[in-house]
Amino acid sequence: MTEQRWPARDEDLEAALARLREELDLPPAPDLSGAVRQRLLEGQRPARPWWAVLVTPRGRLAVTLLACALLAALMIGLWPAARSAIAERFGLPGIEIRVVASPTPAPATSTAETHATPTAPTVPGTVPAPTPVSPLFLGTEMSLEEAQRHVPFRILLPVALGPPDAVYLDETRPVSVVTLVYRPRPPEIPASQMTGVGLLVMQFQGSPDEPVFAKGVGPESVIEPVTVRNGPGYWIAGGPHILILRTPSGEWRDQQRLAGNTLLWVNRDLTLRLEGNISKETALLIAESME
Amino acid sequence: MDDRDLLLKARQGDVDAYAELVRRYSEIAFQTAYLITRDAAEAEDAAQEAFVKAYYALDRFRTDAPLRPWLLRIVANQARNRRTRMSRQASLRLRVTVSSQETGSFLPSPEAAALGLEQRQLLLEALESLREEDRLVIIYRYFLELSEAEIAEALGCARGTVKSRLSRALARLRQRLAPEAQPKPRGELRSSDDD
Repeated sequence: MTEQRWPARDEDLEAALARLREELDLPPAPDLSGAVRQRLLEGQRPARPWWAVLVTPRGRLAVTLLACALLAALMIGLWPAARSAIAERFGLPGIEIRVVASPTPAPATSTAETHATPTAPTVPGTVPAPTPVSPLFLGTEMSLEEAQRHVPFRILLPVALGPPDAVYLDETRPVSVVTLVYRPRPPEIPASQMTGVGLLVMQFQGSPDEPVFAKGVGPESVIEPVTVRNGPGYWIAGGPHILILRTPSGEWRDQQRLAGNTLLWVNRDLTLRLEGNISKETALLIAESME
Repeated sequence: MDDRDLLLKARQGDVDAYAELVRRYSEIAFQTAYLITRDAAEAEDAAQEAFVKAYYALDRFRTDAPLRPWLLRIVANQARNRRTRMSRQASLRLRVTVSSQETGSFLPSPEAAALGLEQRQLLLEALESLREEDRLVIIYRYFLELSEAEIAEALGCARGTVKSRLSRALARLRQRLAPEAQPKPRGELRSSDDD
Protein backbone atom coordinates (compact mmCIF):
# COMPACT_ATOMS: atom_id res chain seq x y z
CA MET A 1 0.00 0.00 0.00
CA THR A 2 2.95 2.30 0.52
CA GLU A 3 3.95 1.83 -3.07
CA GLN A 4 3.59 4.98 -5.18
CA ARG A 5 1.02 3.84 -7.72
CA TRP A 6 -0.09 7.17 -9.06
CA PRO A 7 1.93 10.12 -10.29
CA ALA A 8 2.75 12.26 -7.31
CA ARG A 9 3.05 15.52 -9.17
CA ASP A 10 0.42 17.31 -11.22
CA GLU A 11 2.71 17.31 -14.27
CA ASP A 12 2.84 13.53 -14.15
CA LEU A 13 -0.90 13.19 -13.79
CA GLU A 14 -1.25 15.57 -16.72
CA ALA A 15 1.21 13.52 -18.74
CA ALA A 16 -0.75 10.38 -17.88
CA LEU A 17 -3.95 12.05 -19.08
CA ALA A 18 -2.33 13.22 -22.31
CA ARG A 19 -1.12 9.70 -22.89
CA LEU A 20 -4.52 8.28 -22.07
CA ARG A 21 -5.96 10.40 -24.86
CA GLU A 22 -3.67 8.65 -27.35
CA GLU A 23 -4.97 5.28 -26.25
CA LEU A 24 -8.66 6.07 -26.16
CA ASP A 25 -10.72 4.00 -28.51
CA LEU A 26 -12.22 6.89 -30.48
CA PRO A 27 -14.30 5.99 -33.52
CA PRO A 28 -13.26 7.72 -36.76
CA ALA A 29 -14.87 11.14 -37.07
CA PRO A 30 -17.30 11.49 -39.97
CA ASP A 31 -17.29 14.54 -42.26
CA LEU A 32 -20.60 16.15 -41.43
CA SER A 33 -20.48 18.91 -44.04
CA GLY A 34 -22.56 17.01 -46.62
CA ALA A 35 -25.34 16.11 -44.20
CA VAL A 36 -25.46 19.57 -42.65
CA ARG A 37 -25.44 21.26 -46.06
CA GLN A 38 -28.32 19.04 -47.14
CA ARG A 39 -30.34 19.89 -44.05
CA LEU A 40 -29.75 23.60 -44.49
CA LEU A 41 -30.76 23.47 -48.16
CA GLU A 42 -33.92 21.60 -47.24
CA GLY A 43 -34.57 24.28 -44.67
CA GLN A 44 -34.81 21.81 -41.82
CA ARG A 45 -34.71 23.87 -38.72
CA PRO A 46 -33.20 22.30 -35.62
CA ALA A 47 -35.59 20.48 -33.34
CA ARG A 48 -36.88 22.82 -30.69
CA PRO A 49 -38.21 21.89 -27.31
CA TRP A 50 -42.00 22.25 -27.08
CA TRP A 51 -41.75 25.22 -24.74
CA ALA A 52 -39.55 27.15 -27.14
CA VAL A 53 -42.75 28.42 -28.72
CA LEU A 54 -43.22 30.59 -25.64
CA VAL A 55 -40.07 32.54 -26.39
CA THR A 56 -41.14 34.00 -29.70
CA PRO A 57 -43.67 36.84 -29.70
CA ARG A 58 -45.83 35.06 -32.25
CA GLY A 59 -45.68 31.86 -30.16
CA ARG A 60 -46.71 33.75 -27.06
CA LEU A 61 -49.64 35.25 -28.90
CA ALA A 62 -50.68 31.84 -30.20
CA VAL A 63 -50.45 30.31 -26.73
CA THR A 64 -52.46 33.16 -25.26
CA LEU A 65 -55.14 32.78 -27.91
CA LEU A 66 -55.20 29.04 -27.39
CA ALA A 67 -55.54 29.50 -23.64
CA CYS A 68 -58.46 31.88 -24.19
CA ALA A 69 -60.10 29.46 -26.58
CA LEU A 70 -59.75 26.60 -24.12
CA LEU A 71 -61.13 28.73 -21.32
CA ALA A 72 -64.08 29.64 -23.50
CA ALA A 73 -64.64 26.01 -24.41
CA LEU A 74 -64.53 25.09 -20.74
CA MET A 75 -67.05 27.74 -19.81
CA ILE A 76 -69.60 26.76 -22.42
CA GLY A 77 -69.29 23.12 -21.52
CA LEU A 78 -67.39 21.93 -24.52
CA TRP A 79 -64.40 20.91 -22.44
CA PRO A 80 -64.87 17.13 -22.60
CA ALA A 81 -65.10 17.27 -26.37
CA ALA A 82 -62.01 19.42 -26.59
CA ARG A 83 -60.17 17.13 -24.26
CA SER A 84 -61.17 14.13 -26.25
CA ALA A 85 -59.73 15.67 -29.39
CA ILE A 86 -56.50 16.40 -27.61
CA ALA A 87 -56.39 13.02 -25.97
CA GLU A 88 -56.51 11.29 -29.31
CA ARG A 89 -53.09 12.61 -30.02
CA PHE A 90 -51.87 11.37 -26.68
CA GLY A 91 -51.38 7.74 -27.62
CA LEU A 92 -48.15 5.85 -27.18
CA PRO A 93 -47.44 2.49 -28.81
CA GLY A 94 -49.83 0.07 -27.15
CA ILE A 95 -51.64 2.69 -25.13
CA GLU A 96 -54.33 5.16 -25.97
CA ILE A 97 -55.46 7.83 -23.59
CA ARG A 98 -59.16 8.45 -23.66
CA VAL A 99 -61.32 10.91 -21.83
CA VAL A 100 -64.22 9.25 -20.05
CA ALA A 101 -67.16 10.98 -18.46
CA SER A 102 -66.53 9.43 -15.09
CA PRO A 103 -63.61 7.22 -14.32
CA THR A 104 -65.25 5.90 -11.16
CA PRO A 105 -64.58 2.16 -11.18
CA ALA A 106 -66.77 -0.21 -9.23
CA PRO A 107 -70.32 0.89 -8.45
CA ALA A 108 -69.73 -0.30 -4.90
CA THR A 109 -67.12 2.34 -4.17
CA SER A 110 -67.79 6.00 -4.56
CA THR A 111 -64.93 8.09 -5.83
CA ALA A 112 -65.28 10.63 -3.06
CA GLU A 113 -64.97 7.97 -0.38
CA THR A 114 -62.01 6.25 -1.89
CA HIS A 115 -60.11 9.47 -2.11
CA ALA A 116 -61.04 10.80 1.29
CA THR A 117 -60.07 7.71 3.29
CA PRO A 118 -56.47 6.65 3.23
CA THR A 119 -56.94 3.02 4.10
CA ALA A 120 -53.46 1.65 3.63
CA PRO A 121 -50.87 2.14 6.33
CA THR A 122 -47.66 3.87 5.38
CA VAL A 123 -45.50 2.44 8.15
CA PRO A 124 -42.76 0.02 7.02
CA GLY A 125 -43.29 -3.46 8.35
CA THR A 126 -47.05 -3.17 8.61
CA VAL A 127 -47.62 -2.75 4.91
CA PRO A 128 -49.27 -5.58 3.05
CA ALA A 129 -47.15 -8.05 1.17
CA PRO A 130 -47.35 -7.87 -2.64
CA THR A 131 -49.65 -10.89 -2.76
CA PRO A 132 -52.89 -8.90 -2.51
CA VAL A 133 -52.28 -7.55 -5.98
CA SER A 134 -53.11 -10.81 -7.70
CA PRO A 135 -56.77 -9.81 -8.13
CA LEU A 136 -55.48 -6.86 -10.14
CA PHE A 137 -55.27 -9.14 -13.14
CA LEU A 138 -51.60 -8.72 -13.65
CA GLY A 139 -51.31 -12.29 -14.86
CA THR A 140 -49.34 -15.15 -13.39
CA GLU A 141 -46.78 -14.63 -10.69
CA MET A 142 -43.35 -16.04 -11.49
CA SER A 143 -39.68 -15.38 -10.98
CA LEU A 144 -37.96 -12.66 -12.96
CA GLU A 145 -35.85 -15.29 -14.74
CA GLU A 146 -38.91 -17.24 -15.74
CA ALA A 147 -40.71 -14.16 -17.02
CA GLN A 148 -37.60 -13.20 -18.98
CA ARG A 149 -37.64 -16.61 -20.71
CA HIS A 150 -41.21 -16.00 -21.87
CA VAL A 151 -40.81 -12.58 -23.46
CA PRO A 152 -38.86 -11.57 -26.59
CA PHE A 153 -37.49 -8.37 -25.06
CA ARG A 154 -35.03 -7.80 -22.25
CA ILE A 155 -36.97 -6.86 -19.12
CA LEU A 156 -35.84 -3.46 -17.85
CA LEU A 157 -35.41 -2.94 -14.13
CA PRO A 158 -35.38 0.34 -12.23
CA VAL A 159 -31.84 0.53 -10.87
CA ALA A 160 -33.06 3.11 -8.37
CA LEU A 161 -35.29 0.51 -6.70
CA GLY A 162 -33.37 -2.74 -7.06
CA PRO A 163 -35.02 -6.10 -7.76
CA PRO A 164 -38.82 -6.21 -7.68
CA ASP A 165 -40.74 -7.81 -4.82
CA ALA A 166 -42.90 -9.74 -7.27
CA VAL A 167 -43.06 -10.30 -11.01
CA TYR A 168 -46.17 -11.07 -13.05
CA LEU A 169 -46.55 -12.08 -16.65
CA ASP A 170 -49.82 -11.72 -18.53
CA GLU A 171 -49.92 -13.60 -21.78
CA THR A 172 -53.64 -13.29 -22.32
CA ARG A 173 -53.42 -9.96 -24.12
CA PRO A 174 -52.37 -9.28 -27.70
CA VAL A 175 -48.81 -8.86 -26.41
CA SER A 176 -47.11 -10.23 -23.32
CA VAL A 177 -47.11 -7.76 -20.45
CA VAL A 178 -44.57 -7.99 -17.65
CA THR A 179 -45.42 -6.27 -14.38
CA LEU A 180 -42.91 -5.60 -11.62
CA VAL A 181 -44.44 -5.04 -8.20
CA TYR A 182 -42.72 -3.07 -5.45
CA ARG A 183 -43.73 -2.82 -1.83
CA PRO A 184 -44.30 0.65 -0.44
CA ARG A 185 -41.21 2.56 0.66
CA PRO A 186 -42.46 5.57 2.52
CA PRO A 187 -42.21 8.46 2.39
CA GLU A 188 -41.27 8.63 -1.31
CA ILE A 189 -43.32 5.61 -2.29
CA PRO A 190 -46.38 5.28 -0.06
CA ALA A 191 -48.81 2.41 -0.28
CA SER A 192 -51.51 2.79 -2.87
CA GLN A 193 -54.82 3.57 -1.22
CA MET A 194 -56.53 1.04 -3.40
CA THR A 195 -54.07 -1.81 -3.68
CA GLY A 196 -51.66 -1.56 -0.78
CA VAL A 197 -48.66 -1.95 -3.05
CA GLY A 198 -46.10 0.76 -3.63
CA LEU A 199 -45.46 0.70 -7.33
CA LEU A 200 -46.41 -1.17 -10.44
CA VAL A 201 -44.06 -1.10 -13.42
CA MET A 202 -45.52 -2.59 -16.57
CA GLN A 203 -43.64 -3.10 -19.81
CA PHE A 204 -44.44 -4.59 -23.17
CA GLN A 205 -43.69 -4.21 -26.85
CA GLY A 206 -46.43 -1.89 -27.95
CA SER A 207 -47.70 -1.34 -31.44
CA PRO A 208 -49.35 1.94 -32.39
CA ASP A 209 -52.05 0.10 -34.31
CA GLU A 210 -53.17 -2.20 -31.58
CA PRO A 211 -53.52 -0.63 -28.18
CA VAL A 212 -53.36 -3.04 -25.29
CA PHE A 213 -54.32 -0.52 -22.67
CA ALA A 214 -56.46 2.52 -22.72
CA LYS A 215 -56.30 5.07 -19.98
CA GLY A 216 -59.64 6.49 -19.03
CA VAL A 217 -58.93 9.96 -17.85
CA GLY A 218 -61.38 12.17 -16.04
CA PRO A 219 -61.69 15.87 -16.79
CA GLU A 220 -59.74 16.81 -13.63
CA SER A 221 -56.64 14.90 -14.63
CA VAL A 222 -53.58 16.64 -15.89
CA ILE A 223 -51.88 15.09 -18.87
CA GLU A 224 -48.40 16.44 -19.26
CA PRO A 225 -45.97 15.46 -22.01
CA VAL A 226 -42.58 14.41 -20.63
CA THR A 227 -39.37 12.96 -22.01
CA VAL A 228 -37.70 9.95 -20.46
CA ARG A 229 -34.28 9.21 -21.86
CA ASN A 230 -35.08 10.46 -25.31
CA GLY A 231 -38.43 8.67 -25.41
CA PRO A 232 -41.81 10.42 -25.41
CA GLY A 233 -44.08 10.01 -22.45
CA TYR A 234 -46.97 11.39 -20.43
CA TRP A 235 -47.42 12.12 -16.80
CA ILE A 236 -51.02 11.71 -15.73
CA ALA A 237 -51.97 13.01 -12.31
CA GLY A 238 -54.30 15.13 -10.34
CA GLY A 239 -57.54 13.26 -10.75
CA PRO A 240 -58.99 9.78 -10.89
CA HIS A 241 -58.25 7.76 -13.97
CA ILE A 242 -58.71 4.12 -14.68
CA LEU A 243 -57.07 1.50 -16.75
CA ILE A 244 -59.04 -0.13 -19.50
CA LEU A 245 -57.59 -3.50 -20.40
CA ARG A 246 -57.81 -5.07 -23.79
CA THR A 247 -57.79 -8.83 -23.93
CA PRO A 248 -58.35 -11.08 -26.92
CA SER A 249 -61.87 -11.67 -25.62
CA GLY A 250 -62.67 -7.98 -25.55
CA GLU A 251 -62.27 -4.88 -23.52
CA TRP A 252 -63.16 -4.27 -19.92
CA ARG A 253 -62.64 -1.57 -17.41
CA ASP A 254 -60.50 -2.27 -14.42
CA GLN A 255 -63.00 -2.69 -11.60
CA GLN A 256 -60.48 -3.16 -8.87
CA ARG A 257 -58.90 0.17 -8.34
CA LEU A 258 -58.31 3.64 -9.53
CA ALA A 259 -54.87 4.01 -10.93
CA GLY A 260 -52.51 6.18 -8.94
CA ASN A 261 -50.40 8.80 -10.61
CA THR A 262 -49.10 7.30 -13.79
CA LEU A 263 -46.09 7.80 -15.98
CA LEU A 264 -46.36 6.34 -19.46
CA TRP A 265 -43.33 6.36 -21.69
CA VAL A 266 -41.51 4.69 -24.54
CA ASN A 267 -37.99 3.32 -24.32
CA ARG A 268 -36.84 2.10 -27.75
CA ASP A 269 -39.27 -0.68 -28.65
CA LEU A 270 -40.79 -0.95 -25.18
CA THR A 271 -43.76 0.89 -23.80
CA LEU A 272 -43.61 1.30 -20.05
CA ARG A 273 -46.10 2.32 -17.43
CA LEU A 274 -45.25 3.28 -13.89
CA GLU A 275 -48.05 3.65 -11.40
CA GLY A 276 -48.10 4.67 -7.76
CA ASN A 277 -48.96 7.48 -5.39
CA ILE A 278 -45.69 9.17 -6.13
CA SER A 279 -44.57 12.60 -7.21
CA LYS A 280 -43.67 13.35 -10.79
CA GLU A 281 -40.04 13.83 -9.72
CA THR A 282 -39.87 10.42 -8.09
CA ALA A 283 -41.56 8.82 -11.09
CA LEU A 284 -39.12 10.39 -13.53
CA LEU A 285 -36.16 9.44 -11.36
CA ILE A 286 -37.28 5.82 -11.30
CA ALA A 287 -38.10 5.80 -15.01
CA GLU A 288 -34.72 7.29 -15.92
CA SER A 289 -33.01 4.53 -13.97
CA MET A 290 -34.62 1.67 -15.96
CA GLU A 291 -31.81 -0.41 -17.40
CA MET B 1 -10.12 31.30 -47.37
CA ASP B 2 -10.01 31.75 -43.62
CA ASP B 3 -12.76 31.08 -41.10
CA ARG B 4 -13.77 34.70 -40.90
CA ASP B 5 -14.41 35.05 -44.64
CA LEU B 6 -16.39 31.85 -44.68
CA LEU B 7 -18.32 33.00 -41.67
CA LEU B 8 -19.26 36.31 -43.29
CA LYS B 9 -20.43 34.49 -46.40
CA ALA B 10 -22.36 31.95 -44.35
CA ARG B 11 -24.10 34.76 -42.51
CA GLN B 12 -25.39 36.03 -45.83
CA GLY B 13 -26.90 32.63 -46.50
CA ASP B 14 -24.04 30.95 -48.37
CA VAL B 15 -24.64 27.33 -47.40
CA ASP B 16 -21.53 26.11 -49.23
CA ALA B 17 -19.32 28.45 -47.25
CA TYR B 18 -20.88 27.13 -44.07
CA ALA B 19 -20.41 23.53 -45.25
CA GLU B 20 -16.70 24.26 -45.60
CA LEU B 21 -16.61 25.42 -41.98
CA VAL B 22 -18.47 22.29 -40.94
CA ARG B 23 -15.89 20.20 -42.77
CA ARG B 24 -13.08 21.94 -40.89
CA TYR B 25 -14.63 21.40 -37.49
CA SER B 26 -16.35 18.04 -38.00
CA GLU B 27 -13.59 16.07 -36.35
CA ILE B 28 -13.29 18.01 -33.13
CA ALA B 29 -17.06 18.44 -32.90
CA PHE B 30 -17.57 14.70 -33.27
CA GLN B 31 -14.83 13.89 -30.78
CA THR B 32 -16.27 16.30 -28.24
CA ALA B 33 -19.71 14.78 -28.64
CA TYR B 34 -18.30 11.26 -28.45
CA LEU B 35 -16.31 11.96 -25.30
CA ILE B 36 -19.55 13.11 -23.69
CA THR B 37 -22.04 10.57 -25.09
CA ARG B 38 -19.60 7.65 -25.58
CA ASP B 39 -21.78 6.54 -28.44
CA ALA B 40 -20.74 7.05 -32.08
CA ALA B 41 -24.25 7.35 -33.52
CA GLU B 42 -25.44 9.73 -30.78
CA ALA B 43 -22.26 11.75 -31.17
CA GLU B 44 -22.75 12.11 -34.90
CA ASP B 45 -26.37 13.20 -34.43
CA ALA B 46 -25.42 15.63 -31.68
CA ALA B 47 -22.64 17.21 -33.76
CA GLN B 48 -24.86 17.47 -36.83
CA GLU B 49 -27.70 19.01 -34.85
CA ALA B 50 -25.26 21.44 -33.26
CA PHE B 51 -23.96 22.60 -36.64
CA VAL B 52 -27.51 23.19 -37.86
CA LYS B 53 -28.36 25.10 -34.67
CA ALA B 54 -25.17 27.14 -34.95
CA TYR B 55 -26.03 28.11 -38.53
CA TYR B 56 -29.32 29.63 -37.45
CA ALA B 57 -27.56 31.38 -34.58
CA LEU B 58 -24.78 32.87 -36.71
CA ASP B 59 -26.20 36.35 -36.53
CA ARG B 60 -25.75 36.27 -32.77
CA PHE B 61 -22.08 35.32 -33.08
CA ARG B 62 -19.44 38.06 -32.91
CA THR B 63 -17.29 37.61 -36.01
CA ASP B 64 -14.13 38.69 -34.23
CA ALA B 65 -14.49 35.91 -31.63
CA PRO B 66 -12.95 32.49 -32.20
CA LEU B 67 -15.41 30.12 -33.85
CA ARG B 68 -14.14 26.80 -32.52
CA PRO B 69 -15.00 27.14 -28.80
CA TRP B 70 -18.37 28.69 -29.64
CA LEU B 71 -19.20 25.69 -31.81
CA LEU B 72 -17.93 23.27 -29.17
CA ARG B 73 -20.17 24.82 -26.58
CA ILE B 74 -23.21 24.15 -28.74
CA VAL B 75 -21.95 20.64 -29.51
CA ALA B 76 -21.35 19.91 -25.82
CA ASN B 77 -24.84 21.10 -24.90
CA GLN B 78 -26.39 18.87 -27.53
CA ALA B 79 -24.27 15.92 -26.45
CA ARG B 80 -25.13 16.39 -22.78
CA ASN B 81 -28.82 16.55 -23.53
CA ARG B 82 -28.55 13.34 -25.46
CA ARG B 83 -26.45 11.62 -22.86
CA THR B 84 -28.96 12.24 -20.09
CA ARG B 85 -31.66 10.73 -22.27
CA MET B 86 -29.73 7.69 -23.46
CA SER B 87 -30.84 4.28 -22.24
CA ARG B 88 -27.40 2.70 -22.49
CA GLN B 89 -24.74 4.59 -20.63
CA ALA B 90 -21.56 3.27 -22.23
CA SER B 91 -18.09 4.07 -20.95
CA LEU B 92 -15.03 5.19 -22.81
CA ARG B 93 -12.70 2.37 -23.71
CA LEU B 94 -9.00 2.04 -24.23
CA ARG B 95 -7.48 0.56 -27.31
CA VAL B 96 -5.41 -2.32 -26.01
CA THR B 97 -3.22 -2.59 -29.10
CA VAL B 98 -0.70 -0.02 -27.92
CA SER B 99 2.12 -1.61 -25.99
CA SER B 100 3.31 0.49 -23.10
CA GLN B 101 6.88 -0.73 -23.58
CA GLU B 102 7.04 0.53 -27.16
CA THR B 103 6.04 4.07 -26.50
CA GLY B 104 7.20 4.37 -22.91
CA SER B 105 10.38 6.18 -23.83
CA PHE B 106 8.41 9.20 -25.02
CA LEU B 107 6.96 9.80 -21.61
CA PRO B 108 8.38 12.66 -19.63
CA SER B 109 8.91 10.84 -16.36
CA PRO B 110 9.67 7.30 -15.21
CA GLU B 111 6.71 7.41 -12.89
CA ALA B 112 4.32 8.06 -15.72
CA ALA B 113 6.03 5.41 -17.76
CA ALA B 114 5.41 2.95 -14.97
CA LEU B 115 1.71 3.43 -15.40
CA GLY B 116 0.75 0.10 -16.91
CA LEU B 117 -2.30 -0.68 -18.98
CA GLU B 118 -4.25 -1.81 -15.97
CA GLN B 119 -3.49 1.40 -14.16
CA ARG B 120 -4.44 3.45 -17.19
CA GLN B 121 -7.72 1.62 -17.19
CA LEU B 122 -8.14 2.65 -13.55
CA LEU B 123 -7.26 6.21 -14.47
CA LEU B 124 -9.92 6.15 -17.15
CA GLU B 125 -12.46 4.70 -14.74
CA ALA B 126 -11.60 7.35 -12.18
CA LEU B 127 -12.08 10.00 -14.83
CA GLU B 128 -15.42 8.47 -15.80
CA SER B 129 -16.56 8.51 -12.21
CA LEU B 130 -16.05 12.26 -11.88
CA ARG B 131 -18.88 14.73 -12.01
CA GLU B 132 -19.74 15.92 -15.51
CA GLU B 133 -18.38 19.38 -14.74
CA ASP B 134 -14.97 18.05 -13.66
CA ARG B 135 -14.78 15.50 -16.41
CA LEU B 136 -15.55 18.04 -19.11
CA VAL B 137 -12.82 20.46 -18.12
CA ILE B 138 -10.28 17.60 -18.13
CA ILE B 139 -11.56 16.36 -21.47
CA TYR B 140 -11.26 19.84 -22.99
CA ARG B 141 -7.78 20.40 -21.66
CA TYR B 142 -6.09 17.05 -22.12
CA PHE B 143 -8.12 15.19 -24.72
CA LEU B 144 -9.13 18.02 -27.02
CA GLU B 145 -6.13 20.20 -26.11
CA LEU B 146 -8.05 23.46 -25.98
CA SER B 147 -6.41 26.59 -24.61
CA GLU B 148 -7.65 28.13 -21.37
CA ALA B 149 -9.41 30.88 -23.29
CA GLU B 150 -11.14 28.30 -25.48
CA ILE B 151 -12.13 26.23 -22.45
CA ALA B 152 -13.64 29.32 -20.83
CA GLU B 153 -15.70 30.00 -23.96
CA ALA B 154 -16.70 26.36 -24.38
CA LEU B 155 -17.79 26.02 -20.74
CA GLY B 156 -19.32 29.47 -20.69
CA CYS B 157 -17.34 30.55 -17.64
CA ALA B 158 -14.93 33.38 -16.91
CA ARG B 159 -11.45 32.87 -18.22
CA GLY B 160 -9.94 33.41 -14.79
CA THR B 161 -11.83 30.44 -13.32
CA VAL B 162 -10.58 27.84 -15.79
CA LYS B 163 -7.31 27.29 -13.92
CA SER B 164 -8.99 26.75 -10.58
CA ARG B 165 -11.68 24.54 -12.10
CA LEU B 166 -9.02 22.44 -13.72
CA SER B 167 -6.95 22.09 -10.59
CA ARG B 168 -10.04 21.19 -8.55
CA ALA B 169 -10.93 18.57 -11.14
CA LEU B 170 -7.43 17.13 -11.06
CA ALA B 171 -7.50 17.05 -7.26
CA ARG B 172 -10.76 15.12 -7.30
CA LEU B 173 -9.38 12.79 -9.94
CA ARG B 174 -6.39 12.18 -7.72
CA GLN B 175 -8.73 11.48 -4.80
CA ARG B 176 -10.50 8.81 -6.80
CA LEU B 177 -7.16 7.27 -7.60
CA ALA B 178 -6.09 7.12 -3.95
CA PRO B 179 -5.87 3.49 -2.77
CA GLU B 180 -8.58 3.88 -0.12
CA ALA B 181 -10.99 5.18 -2.73
CA GLN B 182 -10.39 2.29 -5.08
CA PRO B 183 -12.63 -0.51 -3.81
CA LYS B 184 -15.69 1.19 -5.28
CA PRO B 185 -14.71 3.16 -8.34
CA ARG B 186 -18.10 2.60 -9.97
CA GLY B 187 -21.58 1.53 -9.03
CA GLU B 188 -24.35 3.53 -7.39
CA LEU B 189 -22.17 6.45 -6.52
CA ARG B 190 -21.41 6.97 -10.12
CA SER B 191 -24.90 7.42 -11.42
CA SER B 192 -25.78 9.88 -8.71
CA ASP B 193 -22.64 11.82 -9.53
CA ASP B 194 -23.73 12.09 -13.13
CA ASP B 195 -27.01 13.65 -12.28
